[in-house]
Amino acid sequence: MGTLNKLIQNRFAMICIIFLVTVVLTGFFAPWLAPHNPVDVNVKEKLAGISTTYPMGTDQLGRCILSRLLYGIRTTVLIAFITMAATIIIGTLIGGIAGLFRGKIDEIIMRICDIFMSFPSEVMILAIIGMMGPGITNIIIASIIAKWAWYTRMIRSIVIKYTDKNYIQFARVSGFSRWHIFRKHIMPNATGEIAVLATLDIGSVILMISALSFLGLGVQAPTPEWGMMLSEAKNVMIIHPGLMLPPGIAILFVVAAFNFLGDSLQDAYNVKHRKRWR
Amino acid sequence: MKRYIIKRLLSVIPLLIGISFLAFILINLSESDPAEVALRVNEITPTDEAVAQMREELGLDKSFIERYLTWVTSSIKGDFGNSFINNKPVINEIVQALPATLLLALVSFIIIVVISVSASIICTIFEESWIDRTIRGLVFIGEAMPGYWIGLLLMWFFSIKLNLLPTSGMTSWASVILPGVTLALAYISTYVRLLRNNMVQNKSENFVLYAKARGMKKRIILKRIFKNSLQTTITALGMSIPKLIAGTVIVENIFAWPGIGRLSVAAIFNYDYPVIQAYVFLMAVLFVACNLLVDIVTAMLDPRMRKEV
Amino acid sequence: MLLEVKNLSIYDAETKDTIVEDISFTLEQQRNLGIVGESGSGKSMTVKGILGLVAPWMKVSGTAYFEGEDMLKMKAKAMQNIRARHISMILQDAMSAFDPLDTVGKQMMETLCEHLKISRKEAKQISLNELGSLGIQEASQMMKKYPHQLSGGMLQRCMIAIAVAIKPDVIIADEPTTALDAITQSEVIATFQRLHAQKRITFIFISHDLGVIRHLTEEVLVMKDGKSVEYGRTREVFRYPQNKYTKYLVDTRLNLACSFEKIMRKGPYDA
Repeated sequence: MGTLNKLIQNRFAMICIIFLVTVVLTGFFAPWLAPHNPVDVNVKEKLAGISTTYPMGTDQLGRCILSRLLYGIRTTVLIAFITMAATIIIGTLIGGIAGLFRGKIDEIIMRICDIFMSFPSEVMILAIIGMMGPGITNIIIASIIAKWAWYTRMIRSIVIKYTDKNYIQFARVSGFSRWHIFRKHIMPNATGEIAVLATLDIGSVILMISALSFLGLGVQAPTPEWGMMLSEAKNVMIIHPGLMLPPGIAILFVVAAFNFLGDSLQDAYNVKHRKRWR
Repeated sequence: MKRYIIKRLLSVIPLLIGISFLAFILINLSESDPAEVALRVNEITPTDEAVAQMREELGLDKSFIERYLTWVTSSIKGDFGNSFINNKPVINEIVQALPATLLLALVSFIIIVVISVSASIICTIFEESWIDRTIRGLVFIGEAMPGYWIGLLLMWFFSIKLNLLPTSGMTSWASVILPGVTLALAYISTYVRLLRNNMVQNKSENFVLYAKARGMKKRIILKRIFKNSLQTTITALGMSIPKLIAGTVIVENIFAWPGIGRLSVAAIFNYDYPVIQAYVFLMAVLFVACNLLVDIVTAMLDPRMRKEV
Repeated sequence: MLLEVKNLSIYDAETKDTIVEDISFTLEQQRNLGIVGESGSGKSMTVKGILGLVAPWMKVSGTAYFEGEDMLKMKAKAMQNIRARHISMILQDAMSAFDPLDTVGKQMMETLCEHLKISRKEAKQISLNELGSLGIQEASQMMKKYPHQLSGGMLQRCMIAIAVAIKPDVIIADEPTTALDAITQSEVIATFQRLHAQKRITFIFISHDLGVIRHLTEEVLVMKDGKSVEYGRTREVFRYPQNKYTKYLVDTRLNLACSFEKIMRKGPYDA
């Protein structure tokens, strides 16, 4: 309970939570909130300025920027959530097995993780996309392959930390099955720490997805996505530089909010690292 | 020390085997048949006969392990096959593009070292002062900013608005400034944060307390703090070299910089598998090599490591 | 009067805890002071607070007069001067007290050169002498070693050698015996006694070992949970403890003290 209280007391962290919840809800209700269809082309109104019909103006094809931004939440943030969720499930499964059973299985899993981790994630993602071709599914798969090893390792160490605690040792001696101990005693404790890891990392996932889309390797046109909007804005930079602002600022705010929340969560969870940053 | 280096070198062997195997699996993920792709991009109708011939030519008819071994041995020799697009040896294209990437990475590396080391030293000396807070604020914003967005904004401001620097390509010495700065900015935040935290942490070490207790001057104490942070600094900055080279992909594409990052993205769009494979292999080797080098250098700096092993 | 501390309190602005509350004591020339209490009772914090060695978010209030000047209001430079020449401190954890990346000798010489304004050669000679008089053979070999190559007892003696070479008015020894084995303990204690007698240095001993305190001090301050529970002459406090907590301490630690006395009676050099 202390953890939650600390978080509530941190006013800026609360603002971040409210902001992020709003963003997610806005993405969810985008079809009702957006003034236009995000893929509707209107050549007559291309590169229009701010007006009541187009609150943020239009792009080089006359598409409503605000609508594209709102629908962009669905792509960018949703893909990031899916990637994160899948990575954590895989990491928890494999890391949990390694941490619970230790011994040979643990050894093998950790060696495999070593190999994956010594491979730069940027290159790994590029290699996978390169061989499987651009597209949303492939970026998700690529990011999971690039990230699972690190999560497996972190979750393994969390599991080991809790397994070594006295009451769990006791439960072991009392003859509960490993699965029971894992589910009843270790997971409830570890969930918080895993959530911290995920929150700290989701910002970087968003950055990566948008970067790949910016390069044209991720989300394909005409689906609205923030990184791709920036890449389109680049083409009309000379005549209409303002187009670079909305998607860039959107990414900045969402990522900053996640990062700040992650840091605050971490602070709330372990008192030891207090007063180190921010 | 010699024994440590030899031991460390030997420990790399299984890692190298693992990494090369992983790289080989990665580059065999392709859903489409490389033989078919190779024919298609050269506008040859992929008849069964032609595909079979191409498969043989590419060695695709052999077993997985056999192919892995041929791939490794020929890669070590620098033979990555010919590009599907222009049929020239891949190694030539890479060698041609590599200097541009290395120049870009070098410029960024210098910027990163200078700024992140000096910023974290300033933060450590003036911990919790306005300047420390400002730098930390900038780092926070920097970590949330997409690197390519910074690149675009810089490009717009310096090339279009002020017309000071070239927008893209590699035309004059000034061309490297914008891509170099963009690439550096994407990494500086991480390193300032890492180094500053390490130095501040060292500040609360017991040896600092004792140095204060025995009345040493602030300057001498700071010197000891920085010396103790050197190891982390070298590790972090050493590992930034391969990361920078990998990170050139985006920057090179924004600024049309003729390096291997741009080459590899073009290869992805063209399904030019041999180029992608060569890129992946090269990066993997670079990472392992830098890792090794950093380990050895830090071991040489630490008296606790020098005698052991 | 060497040092007069009044109403010293230390407040942690981070956790909003009061770590030390309203501590007062005086240190007279040649009359050693002992500060006892369990770990976490604020003993170390008290002296670190006086010497300005606490984290920036620890707020120290009260007064601590040394030679007519309040140390708590001193500028960093003046405080450094006090720490350099007048009040030396021997830290609890000798193993981590020296910079691991530099030889012990270099760190010793650096301190002496700085405070005594002497050449490196002279500093080396003094270091060798002091280490020799602390019973260290092959001191010149030892000075070439890195901290991780030496034992806790050796490093502790290096700290003592530094403290003694500077010839300060006061030496504060924080748990000087905890990290040491019994034989080394008794040697270190004997050294303190000798220094006290010969060099006229006044000591503040911080310890949870009542045996040490009883043996080495004239005055004693008993602390619990950051507060002072009893303060007076060591002999009287030990014989007629007024406070319940002091009584408890004296009773339970009697065994410890007995074993300590046994070691002392044997003597360090004829062991």
